[in-house]
Amino acid sequence: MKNSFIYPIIFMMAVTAVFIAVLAGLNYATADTIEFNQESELQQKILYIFDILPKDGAEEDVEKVFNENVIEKEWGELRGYALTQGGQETAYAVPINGPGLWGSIIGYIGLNTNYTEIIGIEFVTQSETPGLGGRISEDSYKEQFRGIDISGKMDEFIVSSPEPNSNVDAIAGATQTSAAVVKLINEDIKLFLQEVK
Amino acid sequence: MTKTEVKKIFTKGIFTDNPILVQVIGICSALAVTNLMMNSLIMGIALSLVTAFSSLTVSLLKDHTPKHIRMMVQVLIISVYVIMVDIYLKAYMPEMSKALGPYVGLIITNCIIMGRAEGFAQSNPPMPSFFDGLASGIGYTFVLMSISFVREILGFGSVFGISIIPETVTRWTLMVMPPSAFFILALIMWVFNNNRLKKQREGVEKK
Amino acid sequence: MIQVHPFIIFIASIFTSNMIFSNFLGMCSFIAVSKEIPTALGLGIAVTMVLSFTTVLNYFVYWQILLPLGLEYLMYILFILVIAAFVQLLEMAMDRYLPTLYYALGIFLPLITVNCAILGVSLFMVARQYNFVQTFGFAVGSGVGWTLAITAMAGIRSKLNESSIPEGLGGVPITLIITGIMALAFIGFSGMVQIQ
Repeated sequence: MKNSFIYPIIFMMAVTAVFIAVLAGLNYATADTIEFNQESELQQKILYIFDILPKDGAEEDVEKVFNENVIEKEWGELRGYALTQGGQETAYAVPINGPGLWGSIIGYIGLNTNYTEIIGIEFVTQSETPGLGGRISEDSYKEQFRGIDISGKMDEFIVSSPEPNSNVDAIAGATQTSAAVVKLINEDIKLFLQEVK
Repeated sequence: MTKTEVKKIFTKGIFTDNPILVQVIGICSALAVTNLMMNSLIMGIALSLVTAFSSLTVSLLKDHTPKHIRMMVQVLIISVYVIMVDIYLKAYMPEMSKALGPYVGLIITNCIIMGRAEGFAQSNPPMPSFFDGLASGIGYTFVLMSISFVREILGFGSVFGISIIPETVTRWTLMVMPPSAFFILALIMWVFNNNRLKKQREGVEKK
Repeated sequence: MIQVHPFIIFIASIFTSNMIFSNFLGMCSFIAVSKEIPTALGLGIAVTMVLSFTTVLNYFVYWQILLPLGLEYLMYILFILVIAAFVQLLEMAMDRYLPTLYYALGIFLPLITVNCAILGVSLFMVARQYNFVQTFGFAVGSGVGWTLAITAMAGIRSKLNESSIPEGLGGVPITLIITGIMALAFIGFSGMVQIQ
């Protein structure tokens, strides 16, 4: 029986079927958890931009705060989020993306409703050098963006040191990543303002 | 299984036949995830479990598996266990899943698992195969932890994420980048080889 | 999906995002078979063929089968089975039409199945959401880049035979060091071309 032509095919199909059944079961059991994790991560990032992220919050707390205060918003082709308080929109999270040193950098930047101030920034995807360019994801870099005044500017909203009149410090030793981030932010804010004005 | 047999399997897997240092297999991931000790540990545990259970399953099925398709069956078994690890990480350790990235899926192609399945599990009983897989995995983890210890402490100044070297000491950024793994592994192999050659020479002189 | 011309992706995967020197995939056979130029070149061509065909096949498997049916979690199994089946066919063809190369490569021909570069290219293709033409450029380019790397290493190692290397460093360790140095050189390419 083992040497017949049909046996290997049957064996392969049987073994594959058993294993796929096991995997399907596992996938079904964990699919909700995985989706929840992914959603929760994005929610945490958006809440961070609006500076209402619950400290040491469990994912359920994050979900609650997110659902109570944040709605999705579109501007033309741009998809982002809006912070609502008392039924009014008080801030926006605008999508930003562009090339970094190693790969694409994708994130959101927070603006107030008059488009005169940056309220926060967060990165969703970046693959910059860990310990150097990768530090753009650290609070010390991101917190710099809170409260930056961009009223009246048409471009060059963010200027990084060592340029004169800088409003943001580059990361020491990560010149290229710092420059790339500044460039993509400026380009995308410009695009956004063109869309809304 | 006698205790000496188990001990022999473990000594082989961890020292005398260490997959990375002696057999020189399973190197790809050794270079990519060794920038942090925590990543290496999780990768090592994942690989050890996949190798152990794959060897176990291959050994259980060995008498029924037709010869010509045995490599495909091995690959199928290995991918199933890797998918299980991937699902587990995504659901319960999402940060780690992101840190390891595509290298979890690449465990399937890690030559160590295939090597043990073909080289041991295919012709040995289930429990010894399980231990053999576990032993190779532990040997692999051991080497990975050594490399990442050097890389993390020199590149980030920390051990397992705990800062040891003060911020004022300049970090050696090269250690954070993958080429450093090549150099460190080469040095570890050099020390290991010298040790082995010395023992061989002493053995010959005694005669 | 990114808007990069497939030809740029092709060139980039050979030089600036080389599978061996930038992504560190395909190391096992790279270290083992890079001793002589003819065998290295032969293996490289075999790997390029496998890469080109299987990545394209996997493109269809992912977009036409896995995604519409919601079976993404089976991606690893289906990809590796496609690769294993193709390598088996390639082996049979080589045994028939190119027996000298078949014997020279020996165990390393079936080991192409577990070459991390091959599965890696398919996984990257999905992660970066390349379209069909981009996938083709990426697959062929990655193969050419891998072949370039292993042949270059074979050339260097044949020259090394005349040098006096400390005994413990010979063979694998010195190869690793050379690869490390070449990888360092390739870091100079980073940021030049964006393909992800």
